[in-house]
Amino acid sequence: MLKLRIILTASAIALVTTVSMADELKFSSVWIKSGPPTAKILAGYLVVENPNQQPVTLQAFRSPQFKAIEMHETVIDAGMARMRPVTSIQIPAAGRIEFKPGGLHLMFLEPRGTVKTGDKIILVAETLTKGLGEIKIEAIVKDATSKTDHSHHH
Amino acid sequence: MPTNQTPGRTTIPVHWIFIGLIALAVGAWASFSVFQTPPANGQISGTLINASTDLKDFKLLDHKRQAFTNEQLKGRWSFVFFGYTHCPDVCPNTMTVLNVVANELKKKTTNDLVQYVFVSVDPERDTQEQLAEFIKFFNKDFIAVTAPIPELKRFTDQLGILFMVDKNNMDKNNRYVVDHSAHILVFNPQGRFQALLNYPHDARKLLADYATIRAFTNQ
Repeated sequence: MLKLRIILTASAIALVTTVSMADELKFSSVWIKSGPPTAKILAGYLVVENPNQQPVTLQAFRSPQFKAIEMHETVIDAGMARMRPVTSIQIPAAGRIEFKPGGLHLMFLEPRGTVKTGDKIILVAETLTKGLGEIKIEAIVKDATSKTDHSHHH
Repeated sequence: MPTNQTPGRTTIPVHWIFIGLIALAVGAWASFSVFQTPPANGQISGTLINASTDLKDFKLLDHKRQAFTNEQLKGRWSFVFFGYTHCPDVCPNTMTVLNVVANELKKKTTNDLVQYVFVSVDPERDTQEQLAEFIKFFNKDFIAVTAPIPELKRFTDQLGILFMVDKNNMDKNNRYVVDHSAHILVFNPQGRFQALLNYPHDARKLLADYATIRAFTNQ
């Protein structure tokens, strides 16, 4: 009887641990900067927090409203602005990464339709972590001068 | 505060000397900051250029298909930024900042003419139509210009501005990036290169630098 109890308890703990090991990444301040109506490329920014005790790798983003989304980083090298493609980014355990102007950013390519200020864009973040998979987020299109939105979406 | 006094002599109490020195210092500081012209080295977030020579001839085309040459730099102050319309981050953000600067300067100054010029270093994709759509979005009075690369270089080489179309890393959709200097350049009403302002750009900083440049050059 004791053995069974131990096994059951151990299994329960294992189960709970596995489930809690994959807490969702928390995305906030997700916004896309509005551009000219003919723009084929728009920049997007966000804050991502990883509440887990293990790092989580962000692999890619996609949206039904854009042909493709890429991650890039602006690098200033002796006064020259360069863009470096980022294939995946690791969010540290209990850590936070910010995509912001002049740094890491999302490049939204070829909108499927017009994109204007106030529009809500569906974004899916793909992770490499077991138990996490994909996370659906909502981004809002804003003008550059407006304050960053604090919408929290998982 | 007791002072040591040699009998038979009067000495000024220490605390009065102290107050006197403070008053002197405050007076000096006040006159320095209110009446003094900015320091001779003109402290800006960038470099002041010795604007003693004219630029060599160059000819670019603006978004309305009008020529943009040395002549267009005369008779006004110009803020010039180099980039390309397929640039998602640095270029739109800088143009937005320049729009804030433009609105602020419009409010303050009287007869001053200031123009804002975006120079595309990606003539292959940035046609005049593309430039017109792009620049209108930021400010309808801004100008966007470009030219074939050899002609662009005739302009940029004189200014120490670099750019490089990077087709080595084209993605599967044939998209490429262009590396480019991220400075904002200031030209004076004689059409001469007056200052190089460093990235990152911030409206308040730009407005302060512009004021320093104007004061320093007495123009």
